[in-house]
Formats: sequence, structure tokens, C-alpha cells
Amino acid sequence: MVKHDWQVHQVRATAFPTERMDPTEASTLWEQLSGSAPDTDQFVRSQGLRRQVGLYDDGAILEVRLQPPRIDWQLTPQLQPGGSLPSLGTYESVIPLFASKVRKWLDGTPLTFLRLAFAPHLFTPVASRQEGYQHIADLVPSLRLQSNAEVSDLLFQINHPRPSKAVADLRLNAVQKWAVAAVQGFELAVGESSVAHPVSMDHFCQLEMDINTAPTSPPRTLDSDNVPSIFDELVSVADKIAARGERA
Amino acid sequence: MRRSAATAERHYPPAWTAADWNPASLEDVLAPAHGAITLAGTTEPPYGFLVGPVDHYPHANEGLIALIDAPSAEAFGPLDREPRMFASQNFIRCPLAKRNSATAPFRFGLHEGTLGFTASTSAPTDPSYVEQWKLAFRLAELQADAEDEGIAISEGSQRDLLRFLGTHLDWRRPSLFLLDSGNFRALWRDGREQIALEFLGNQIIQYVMFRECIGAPDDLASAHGQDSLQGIERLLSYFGVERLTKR
Repeated sequence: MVKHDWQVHQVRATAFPTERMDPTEASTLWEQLSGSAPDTDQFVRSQGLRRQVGLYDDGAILEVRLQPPRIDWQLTPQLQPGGSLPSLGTYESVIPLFASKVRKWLDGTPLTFLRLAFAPHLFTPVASRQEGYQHIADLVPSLRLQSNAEVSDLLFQINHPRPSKAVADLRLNAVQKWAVAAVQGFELAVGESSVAHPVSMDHFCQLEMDINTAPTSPPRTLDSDNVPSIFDELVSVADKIAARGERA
Repeated sequence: MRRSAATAERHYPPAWTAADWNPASLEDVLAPAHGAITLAGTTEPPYGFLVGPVDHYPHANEGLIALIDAPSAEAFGPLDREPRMFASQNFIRCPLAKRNSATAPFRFGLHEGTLGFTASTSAPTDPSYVEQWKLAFRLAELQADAEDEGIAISEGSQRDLLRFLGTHLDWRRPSLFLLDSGNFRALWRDGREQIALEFLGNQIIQYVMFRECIGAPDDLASAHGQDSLQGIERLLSYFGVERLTKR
């Protein structure tokens, strides 16, 4: 299904509970998703933030942040020696597993929600910035680049809102941000005369998505029975954009 | 809330600050909390501690510090509630291993025992002191995890971690992880900018750092390598990621 050899740089799922949660009482959030205790559990009183972090399954870092009115689940890779952009793995190996864990949590939690979001951040290596721009142009019909034109600093963001197929009268946002990034690797020597010697330069096409249920006025609680299927739909939209590009 | 009779009072040495703290092992970190520490005052405000959110405790912001060594049912009340320690601004969940029965001894890190704690309105409020304890509790948790998972902790890695973080108690507390190799890794992160330090032992740190490029925030600069415990701070500063460690 997914083409273009996307790697997952990080992925986030966000839920906005209907009732404001007390961060001091949310001691088991991480455990609810992972089945074990977190490595780090912090309450930042000044920010009203409960933050739980731990190594998850294959060594990725799973973090949950409860900062009313939202709960964010985020999966990020551990940094490894090497200059390249850190990766959680291929889209196919990471996204379905993470999504299924979040879906299971959504299905089992007694919480009700106003909004949901699913936000994968993907990348694929390219040989150069120009090749990256061409790659993006192939996937983003709304973007027209003159061939052979010298361009730089390309950043293209667009939302293609759409009606939900799972729930009537619910609209989804499908925000996409396309860009090419470079990672410049340095070798450092710090002493009497410090130097940062460039040793590598890698380029990446990036696709950041934020697929979310649109806000309503007044805020409307999502039917609990529909929440798992709504989340499935968010993931499905992300799957299609990753596979087919902007107009999916 | 249940009361527990006061049996003795022990104040922390007021001069005991981060500058005096150079632990060689986790045992050194925890040593002041073991054995002799018992209840000072009562479990009622303003001299005690509570079971429950610190927000519900009106005296928690008045400089009261409760350092919980290991809990007992009598002092902590309901057995199904997790005891917490708290300080002037933050509370910390006291790391406890799950017990097999209500009468089994509590375990704190590798230690077992009954309750001992001190609470004093004259306890030091030096933030570094509190950070020292937070670090100690965090490492105790990791020790317990390592034991459960059969991971042999690298003593050299632990010693270096304690030395490094013990001399940087004014830094933002990192996320700490115990790797399968038995080494400790500290992680500071702000968005895509990150510092990961793995303590290899023998006072060597393996570092990986990412920071955004000025003027091109989609681009990143990265550096990785090894340096000494003493050299790493200068390196973080030179690479421009030192701010990730600041509160």
C-alpha cells in the first residue's frame, strides 16, 4: 500500500478529553498503553504537565504528555551514533503497530473525547535537495515547479478537509507539510582551538501530516462507540497520503 | 489520614549541598535515607506528608520536604495508594515495587524495609538537594527494573552517570534509560533538537546531538562521537545545544 520508502521519524496521536483531567491523578497513562511502568514520570507543576517516558518494545521512546486539555502520545527513535535522521523504521513496520496500540487504548478507556488527531512525520532519503524537490513535485500536484529552475527553501503546506466516512456530520482535516531537509554531520574537536569539521551531508524529503477531527462550535463529544473507527479513519487517510501523495 | 507516632527527629545537615556530594555509587546516594530515619512530627499539616495529590495539601509550598525511604502501611494509610514524596514545588512518586501480599516488606530499589521518613519545616530547600533525591529515586527505579529484567548494570556507567549528573544538579533533569547493555543513557530533548549521552564507563561518554540550523529550521546539524566526562559540557556548549539542559 505505502510506496516511496517512507521512514518514520516520529508519530503522534492526540486526544482531547471532554472532561479536564487532573495531571496529578494520571499516574497510569503510560502503563495503559504499554502494559508496563514508564522509565520517567514527571509532573511539571508550573506547566500543569504530566509527562511519562519509557523505552517501548523495540527500543523506541514512547512519551505521553498530559497537559489539559490534551493528551499526546508520541513515539520517537533513540538517537544512535551516525549523522543520519533518526528513524523508527519503515512506515509499514511502525505505523500499524503504534496505531493499533492507540486504538486499543481509545477503545478501552472510560474517557470521552472532543477531538482526535493522528500525526506521522515521515522522511525518505534523496541524493540532493533538487532531487528532493522533484520527488515532492511528483507527489504534490498542487505544486508546480519549473523544470531546471534553481529553487531553494521549498515548504509546502496544505489542508484537504473532507467529510468523515465513519461518522455523519463529522469533518476531518488532512494537513500536509512537504519539505526537503538536510542533516549536516559534524566531527567535533573541542579544546584550545575548537573546530567543527563537516563530515557528511544527507538530504531527505519530509512529509509531516496532521490528520484530525475538525473542531466544532459548540464543542461536541464524539460518540464513544465511534471513537475507535474514527481513529481508524484518521490512520487510513494518512496511509493513503503516504502512498499516493497530496490528493489522496 | 492516619496518624503515626513521632519516634525521633532527624534533620538533614544544613551544609550538605550539591558541592559536597560526590557519590561513587547509588548506595552512597541513598545512604542518608536508610536505617535511622524515622518520623518527625505527625502526618497532619504542616509537619507531615500526605497520600494524595500535593495540590490538596495546603502546606506543600511552604518549604516542606518529605523524603520517603520505604513505606509502611501504618504510616501511609490505604495500602492500595501509592505513597508520594513531595518538595517545595514538585512531588515525586515514590518508586515502589509491587508487593505480593499486604504483609510483604516494601521494596525500594534493591532495599526492603518498613517505613522511615523525615519531614521537617526546617529541611533544606536547596533545589539541587531536591534534584539529588529525584535522581536517586530514578536510579533506584532503574535498578529495580534491571533486577526484574535480568540486566546487569554496568557499575562504571552508573558511577559516571552519578558523577556527571551530580555535578550538574542545576540542569534540567534528563530522561534516563537503562540500555540492554547495562549502560545508562541520558536524553534531553526539545522538539527535534536532542542530546543523548550514553555513559560507557571509564569516564567516557558517547554522545549524539541534533540541533536545528539557524535560518533553516527544517535542516539539522548532527554530531556524534565520544568524549570524557570533563569534556562533554564544553562540547555541548560549542555545538550550541547546551540550552537543552537549562531549566
